Amino acid sequence: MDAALRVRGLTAGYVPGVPAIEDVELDIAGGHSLAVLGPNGGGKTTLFRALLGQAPWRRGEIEVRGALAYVPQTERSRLDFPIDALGVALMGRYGTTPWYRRLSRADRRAAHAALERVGLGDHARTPYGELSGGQRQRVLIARALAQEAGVLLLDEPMSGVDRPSADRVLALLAELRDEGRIVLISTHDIDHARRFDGVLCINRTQIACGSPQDVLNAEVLARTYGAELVRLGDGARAIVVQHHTH
Amino acid sequence: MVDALTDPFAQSIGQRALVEVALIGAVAGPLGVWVVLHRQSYAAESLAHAMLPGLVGAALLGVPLALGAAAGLLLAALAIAAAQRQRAIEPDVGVAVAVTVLLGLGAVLALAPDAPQRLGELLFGDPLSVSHDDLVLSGTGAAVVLALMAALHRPLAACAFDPELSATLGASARATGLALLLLLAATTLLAVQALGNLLVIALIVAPAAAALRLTRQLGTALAAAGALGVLSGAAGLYASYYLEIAAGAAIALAALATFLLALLSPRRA
Repeated sequence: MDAALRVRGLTAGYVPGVPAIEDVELDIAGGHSLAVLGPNGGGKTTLFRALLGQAPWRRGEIEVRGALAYVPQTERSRLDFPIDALGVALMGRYGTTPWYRRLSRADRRAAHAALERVGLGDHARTPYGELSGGQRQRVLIARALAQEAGVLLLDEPMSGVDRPSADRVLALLAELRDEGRIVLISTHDIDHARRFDGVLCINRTQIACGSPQDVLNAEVLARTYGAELVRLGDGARAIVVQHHTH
Repeated sequence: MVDALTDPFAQSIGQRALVEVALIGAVAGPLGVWVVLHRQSYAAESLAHAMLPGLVGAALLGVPLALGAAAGLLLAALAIAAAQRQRAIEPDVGVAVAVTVLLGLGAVLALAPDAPQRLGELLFGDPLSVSHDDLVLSGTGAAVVLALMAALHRPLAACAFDPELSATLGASARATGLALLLLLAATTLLAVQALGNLLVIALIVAPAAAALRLTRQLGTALAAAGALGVLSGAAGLYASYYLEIAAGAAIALAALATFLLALLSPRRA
């Protein structure tokens, strides 16, 4: 897989002239992962939407090699929808066939293979709403794999997932990266961000972008999170206070 | 016993009514599943109510009711779609405003001095009034709506499951939402003569809600809703015949009974 993502001077938002993100610059080659770190409302979602071509307005350049697929938060999933894990993975094939044509056997095989790939081959017939948070996240990743994505954009993939499941999702993302894909996640968890090849700190504008060692320091985090950052007594650790607004 | 089952349908008038309500039930059930999954039950009810001006207009002008219903529904569907897109107000509010305006317009027309005395029939329907030609029209319409639902299955599923994400799955949320409203309008049009514009919503929403309560497989839910719709239609006709109550209302009550029974059943497996 030969994915690549190059972003130059990306400014985007929901209302023309009112940017939610400004001047984002990215250069990622296949086989690399990047965590987009920032506070709620800092522009993580807007960045992903702009990359997907879904921001209502944008300026700047985006060059993508490889198909893009977006993996939403499981917490936003409809659990009452009558569908099983295979049905969700199969949705990844919807875009490849015109709406009036039937899906082929090859599509079903691809969806099955994607479920196997995320370790849920045995759960193909389990109702999506009965899976655990971590399993649902992996089903949504399987759907992105069924889309034959070279670039995966995951929105807070570890939220609403217990710790062992989060580790499993992180391990899976590392494997998918090693197969040559680009893996982008948004997160507000500094410890999770540390486990990616690169970190992009964003709070409306790009604060810093580089390796976790270079980027995750007190000065950058203070600029990223501003007043939301709380320093602990020993000075060594920082925790981020999240203000949830829903 | 056999006589008790066949008596209501011994005459051609009863037979035609049975075929008509079976056709309507078979379409309204699966359509209702999509309506419920897209959280459009309120819009569905509104759409049915909002076509009153079209019905009354047709009665006033002396043109076929179906024509007036079609014009009224098209107007209502477009008004509701437009109202839901207004970002300045909540979708519910927009729909409520659109519907109230249309219902008010219908009432003004219906209460005009030269309006025919058929408002009751327009509101509550009469399956026993169905002619052979009506049946041919219903059969054709039912086949078209079912075929379109089958063709649109994937966009309908993707947009209901992931409204924000459907575009990246190759489905346009806006186009699919509009298509669903148009299918709903067509189904309402099919059902209006038998059930009237106030009761049709019962046969769309109740069997679907019951089916979704009973199964977690989409295909099974669609089929079960159709079956429950047909069953409600037949049960309503029996009730109408033996209890001597209005057929349209009896069918609506039978549809609601399927939902209440589904609520009593153990949680879906």
